[in-house]
Amino acid sequence: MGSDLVLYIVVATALAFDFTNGFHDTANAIATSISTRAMSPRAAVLMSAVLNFAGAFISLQVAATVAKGIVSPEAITQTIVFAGLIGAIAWNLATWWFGLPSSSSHALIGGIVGSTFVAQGASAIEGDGIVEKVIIPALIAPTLAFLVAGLAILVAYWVVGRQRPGMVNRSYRLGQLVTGSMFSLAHGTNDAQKTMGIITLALIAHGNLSPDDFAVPTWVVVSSASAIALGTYTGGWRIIRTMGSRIIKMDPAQGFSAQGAGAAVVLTASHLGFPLSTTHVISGGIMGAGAAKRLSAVRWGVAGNIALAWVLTLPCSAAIGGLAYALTSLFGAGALGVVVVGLLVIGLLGAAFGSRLRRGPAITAEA
Amino acid sequence: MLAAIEWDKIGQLLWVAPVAGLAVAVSFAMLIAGLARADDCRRAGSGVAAAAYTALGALGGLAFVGVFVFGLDIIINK
Repeated sequence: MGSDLVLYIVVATALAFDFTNGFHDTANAIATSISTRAMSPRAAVLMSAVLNFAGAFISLQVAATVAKGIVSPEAITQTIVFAGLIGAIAWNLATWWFGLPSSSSHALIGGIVGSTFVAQGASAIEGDGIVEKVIIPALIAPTLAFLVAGLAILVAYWVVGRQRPGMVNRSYRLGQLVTGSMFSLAHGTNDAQKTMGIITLALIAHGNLSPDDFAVPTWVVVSSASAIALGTYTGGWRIIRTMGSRIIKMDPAQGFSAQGAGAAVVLTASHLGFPLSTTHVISGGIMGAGAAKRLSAVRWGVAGNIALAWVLTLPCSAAIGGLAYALTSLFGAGALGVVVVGLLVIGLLGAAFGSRLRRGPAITAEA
Repeated sequence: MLAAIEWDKIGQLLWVAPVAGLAVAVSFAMLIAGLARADDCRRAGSGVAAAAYTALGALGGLAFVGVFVFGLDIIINK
């Protein structure tokens, strides 16, 4: 009975993480399209939500691997996964509150590293994996996207610079529909898999699925796809505003170059088996598209805050994940700790967002 | 620790990603420039030049579609 309850709570928490992943990353695909008026805000989030939902069904390579190579697989328990998810959700919500784009995958890895560290000690953490899967990609993704988007916008201005601005802008807005769609679809195939992987792991640990021969249950696929799509449709408007208009004020050619170069970098990396964070890539792409036109066009203060959030993602989500595990274990090894921490988190969220709802939304779709 | 890093993949990424990004930018810019110049030439009554620019635009459009389809293939078959 107790382990059933833990399983239900882990599944619900994984879906809650999936939801925050969706609304946190909406900006990656559509912020530039909204900023350049290629699409209306509502149409953009609807398009992105539908493609994220569809993307979740395209690839069923279970990403049980989200923590593979980072923590010892035999160290993982349902309580560790639960505490890691709490760390990731908390960091996603905190960065969303401040309108800062950050990687949901890195937050999840950080949360699980922190909870594993508290539960099993440093020996269960694989430092090589953190360097290979978090630190190196976090350095490469924004730098490479910055350079590629910078080159792309210079080429674009060189080729179309003498044409009528009206036609050029209309064409690039149309092009953004294509690049934005690619980003959304790629995001759905990548990120919904993480939640499917976590729920599948929990089902295996609970004995519902055989570890040697299993298929992802349909309800897991549908619920994960629905959670990320719903989160995407809700729209993380604070981050959309940061990426769409606070880093640079972009024209349609810059929006297309940032998105097109970003999609090229993300998909090339995916093709080579070296996945990169879509958040890091599109942020670097936007900065590159701005800096290539004029260095001072980039608000480097905003860019610095974003970089700081990236640096803090792993340690902060690890600290929260570790704290969540420590609190849970205070109540023993049963389900009580998970229930208490789960209720505590719901209460804190209710207090934080209830007061915001009573005051009205800070930022709207039209902002 | 550095031995665990897949340097060959990173090396490949560092040249393939810029090529792919430039392919997107150049093909779409060719599409726009070709069609815009073709329109200008038609208005000026220069049929041959208009046809040449239309062909350039079509080539850019085809290349852009090709890159898009390749991207879709990566997403679907990864």
